[in-house]
Amino acid sequence: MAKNSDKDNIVPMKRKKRSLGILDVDFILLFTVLVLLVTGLTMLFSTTSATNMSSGKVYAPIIKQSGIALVGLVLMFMISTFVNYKTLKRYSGIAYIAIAIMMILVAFIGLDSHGARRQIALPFIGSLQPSEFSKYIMIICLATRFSMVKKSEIKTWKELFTQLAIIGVPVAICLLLQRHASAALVHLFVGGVMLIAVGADLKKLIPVGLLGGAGIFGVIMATGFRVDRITGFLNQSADVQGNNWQATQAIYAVGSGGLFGLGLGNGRQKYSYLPEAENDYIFAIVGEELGFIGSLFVVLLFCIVIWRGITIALNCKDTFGTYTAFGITVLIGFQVLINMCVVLRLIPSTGMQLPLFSLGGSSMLVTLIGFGILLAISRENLRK
Amino acid sequence: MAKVSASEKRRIWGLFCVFLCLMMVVICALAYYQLIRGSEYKEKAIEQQTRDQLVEAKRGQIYDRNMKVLAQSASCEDVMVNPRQIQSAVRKQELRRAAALTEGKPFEEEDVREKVVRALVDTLGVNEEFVRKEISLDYASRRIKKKVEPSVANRLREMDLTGVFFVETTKRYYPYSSFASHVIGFAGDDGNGLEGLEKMLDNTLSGTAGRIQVIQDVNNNLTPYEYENYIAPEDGNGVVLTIDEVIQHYVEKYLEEAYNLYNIRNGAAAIVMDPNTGEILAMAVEPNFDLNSPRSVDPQVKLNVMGLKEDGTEYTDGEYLNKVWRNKAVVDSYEPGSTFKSIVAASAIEAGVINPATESFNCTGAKRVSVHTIHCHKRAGHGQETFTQALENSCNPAFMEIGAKLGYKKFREYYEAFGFTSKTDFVLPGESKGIFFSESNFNEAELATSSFGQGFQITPLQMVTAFSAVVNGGKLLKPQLIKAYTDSSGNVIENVETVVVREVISENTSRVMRAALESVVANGTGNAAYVDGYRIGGKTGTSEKQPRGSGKKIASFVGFAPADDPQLVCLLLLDEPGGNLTGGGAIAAPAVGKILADSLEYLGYEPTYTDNSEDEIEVPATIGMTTWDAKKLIESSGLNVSIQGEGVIVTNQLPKGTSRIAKESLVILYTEATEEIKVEIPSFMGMTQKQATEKAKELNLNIVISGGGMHDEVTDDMVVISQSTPQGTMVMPGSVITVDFANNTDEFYFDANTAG
Repeated sequence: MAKNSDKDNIVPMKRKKRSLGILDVDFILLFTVLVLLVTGLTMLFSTTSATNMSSGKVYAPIIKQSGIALVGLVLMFMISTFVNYKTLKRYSGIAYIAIAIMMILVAFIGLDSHGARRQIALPFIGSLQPSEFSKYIMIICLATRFSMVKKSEIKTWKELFTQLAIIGVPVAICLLLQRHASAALVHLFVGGVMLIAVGADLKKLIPVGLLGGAGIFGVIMATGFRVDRITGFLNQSADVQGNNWQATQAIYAVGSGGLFGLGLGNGRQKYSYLPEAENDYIFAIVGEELGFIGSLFVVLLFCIVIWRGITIALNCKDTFGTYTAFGITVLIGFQVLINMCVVLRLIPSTGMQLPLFSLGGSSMLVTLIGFGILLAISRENLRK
Repeated sequence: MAKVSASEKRRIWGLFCVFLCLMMVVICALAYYQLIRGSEYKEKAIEQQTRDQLVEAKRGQIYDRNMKVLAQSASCEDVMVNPRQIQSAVRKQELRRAAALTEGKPFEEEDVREKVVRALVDTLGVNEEFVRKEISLDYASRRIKKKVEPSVANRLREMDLTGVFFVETTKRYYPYSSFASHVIGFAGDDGNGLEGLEKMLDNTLSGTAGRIQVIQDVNNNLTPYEYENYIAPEDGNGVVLTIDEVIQHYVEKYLEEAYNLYNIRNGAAAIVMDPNTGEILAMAVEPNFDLNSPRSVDPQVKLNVMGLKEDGTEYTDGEYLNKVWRNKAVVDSYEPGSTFKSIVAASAIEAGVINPATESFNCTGAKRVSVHTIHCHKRAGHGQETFTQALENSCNPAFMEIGAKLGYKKFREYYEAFGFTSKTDFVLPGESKGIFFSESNFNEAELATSSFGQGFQITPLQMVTAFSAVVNGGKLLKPQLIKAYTDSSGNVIENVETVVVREVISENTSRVMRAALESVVANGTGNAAYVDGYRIGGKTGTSEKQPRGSGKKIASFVGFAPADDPQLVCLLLLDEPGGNLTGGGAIAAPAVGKILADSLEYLGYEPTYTDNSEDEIEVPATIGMTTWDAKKLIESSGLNVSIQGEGVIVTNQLPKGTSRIAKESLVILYTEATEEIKVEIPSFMGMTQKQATEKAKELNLNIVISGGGMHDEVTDDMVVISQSTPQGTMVMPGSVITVDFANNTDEFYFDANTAG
């Protein structure tokens, strides 16, 4: 929004002194996030009321998730109002080391879920997934690095490896220790895009990237980890009852929606047909209950979020702010895109959550904090 | 800190464009799945989510003609289990138990599986092993017990058992159990009619099942979206039968009595028809069966009914049930024997080949036909006889003559006109149409035997229908079993009309036949059907079964009443009587007489008595008198006296005072010092009057002679066909036993030497 910034530039001097109110942020982003959050919680309630019907705890998941969302909102407003994002730069190194250690610890002492340890149990909160936080810390860390380096050094091998190292540590921990391919993928992708955006030498980045990609692929194939998902994807008509069950049921749900959907709360696929309906596949329930119109609405809202994120990044006066905002935007955009592509059977199942929609406290909390940082940057952009 | 450079800006906007392009792909995919192929996926989703449940229609009721309920359906429930649900509940309980164990807490929940098993076994009485096996299967729905009473289902419901559910269904009840079993038939567990009217009227009775479309989850548990698509069932219509419950009861009672008394080996059947409408008022077959448990087999009853196979082994239950379920009155054809003479006579009078008023016949005891000599049942011959006498005597040579006068062509014509060559289009299953000679095989000898009802086969239903035409003024009516149809709540929606098939004989011929047939009962071979006070007509029949010479016979009687204005026609036949009495006049006629008399009384016809008991004397009451006074009093009224014991005062007398007995009977007086001497009643069956009287005198018993038709003329060729007190009973000397006499004529004639 170049126009906005021009307009801001001609604002009379006396307004500079005025302290900014709670809503003096990128209002479009704030409003869109709030609409998405309400929509997401509504859809989550519709889904969990069915998936938890047999256990009788119809309200438990939505109460917990709403509580976390409330905490997240408070944090979001506090960060956007009171935190100068530039201070984040100062703590990024320590946070990076701390989260790396935490992730390693989780891999050994975390909660066991389907043979992998990704979460730690915490009193009062329940469980926490450090890899969710790691994504944001890595972004801030990279942005810090970008803001420190001189333009002339950015294309050197040394700088490239430094930056790759920042990306590589969480990727390696996720992949090798936590067996958490999707988290590794997110780190890798967001980091990679940030490198491209910052102007890394593509002649150096591409061969390194190919090499790294081959290595990761090798690890995945060697450990036999989730290969079935890929083979299942490549042969979709086969094994509808087994590996392709979830993907097929998701399409049944989406297809059932038609133009206007079955109506909020009227979905049937959530009644044990679609596994993980409240998690990775909640967008299928959106499609079933709200139809094409409703799904399009959600897609467009996310597009607005990304558009505002990019705008905030480009309007920022300093490199750190720009790349932090950019990284967060890429992260949100990537998660949304991958999640929707999985639900619509465009790519194999990866276990990516839909921000603000999927059940999961860590993701909800960290996403709202991320938006808080974005809004904080937008506030500084307004302060001319 | 520098602002981002222009090139960086370009790259970032470029990346945003890539993102937007990918989001466009997402939108296209949404449009593809939801708008282009949406209905297809919706269909597939609905297919897996929904299950059609049938809602049974209530089967219509069957009523008798007075709207008494003969068959009805009541609600009941099938008890089902969902094994998957039980297994999952058991697993969850195991987890809780393990958790409690690790935390050291006591675990006091009742075992889910055991609770279900105990409740089902105790409440339904089902096999425990069976229940355990069923709930261990990987199914969402298994039936544990069919057709459970609602009260029992409610008891289970109150126990709140995991994975136990109920499916509503209906059960067929037959309030009178074996009553009219061959007419009503029965329906199977699935509600489909299998036999009798239940089978033939299945479409009318069964109605149309409704449907509920339920939406279920993967484990077949119901979701909150129930009754989304509900099509209400249409209950079946009801049927009102022409059967009269009271008359049917009389028929069943007397048929069963005869069936047991005369040791009938191959079943028995009886039909009562209203000759004016063709309505079947009663139809009974022996042996019958309990409609509420049509498949149950009592081995002793089976042995009694079926006997043993030739190789000494028992018949299977299936063979037995096939026989028991068979409606002999409609399905089986038989040679009618002399009852058919009524048809031949009516045909000959109608055709004008004989004049019933002037015709005379001379029976010499046999008649030569072609190369055969065919005997009359009375070898000595009946001598000169009129038409009526020939019918009374059931004289074979006379009827061979009548048949010859009628000729092949006319005989065939009337045979067909009386409906013997076609089915009556009756509503019960498996009706046969009988067997008659082909034109080329119908020669002199065949015509002769056909004239007295041998050589061809008809069904009892055809016989009773044709006989109705003989006595009702000549109209052959379609036999009807259904009077009306009702809606599901019993309101009549359609009446069945009387159908006149054709006019066979004139009213005049019919009147002559009624008089002649009444005379058969009043004066002739049918006298055992005579009931004091009612005008009954009829014709006896005793036919020899194939192969000739086997000695197997069918005894039958077809009667009607009142003779001047027939309201009832009754045919009763006994297949293979096994005792020493085998004649239709002796064993079938009495039952028909009693059925007609009881039914007429029920229908409001008062008996009219003529006093013909002048030979009977009232016994004076002498108890308390001195023996001397008593002896004097009794002897003065024309009776004989015997005093038992040494006492002076009469303490008892047999027969009792004021009862009526024949003159010169013996009255026995007992004194206070009498020793109790009892006499065993002998069997009088088959004795002539002279033999019976002598036997009674010998034993100091009094017999009252009964039978002999309207004039109570017991002739020499009559024998005892029943006695009032059964053989073997111990009675005081002087007791009165009534014995019935009737003709036991064997009305068939093939001479073993001459019959080809």
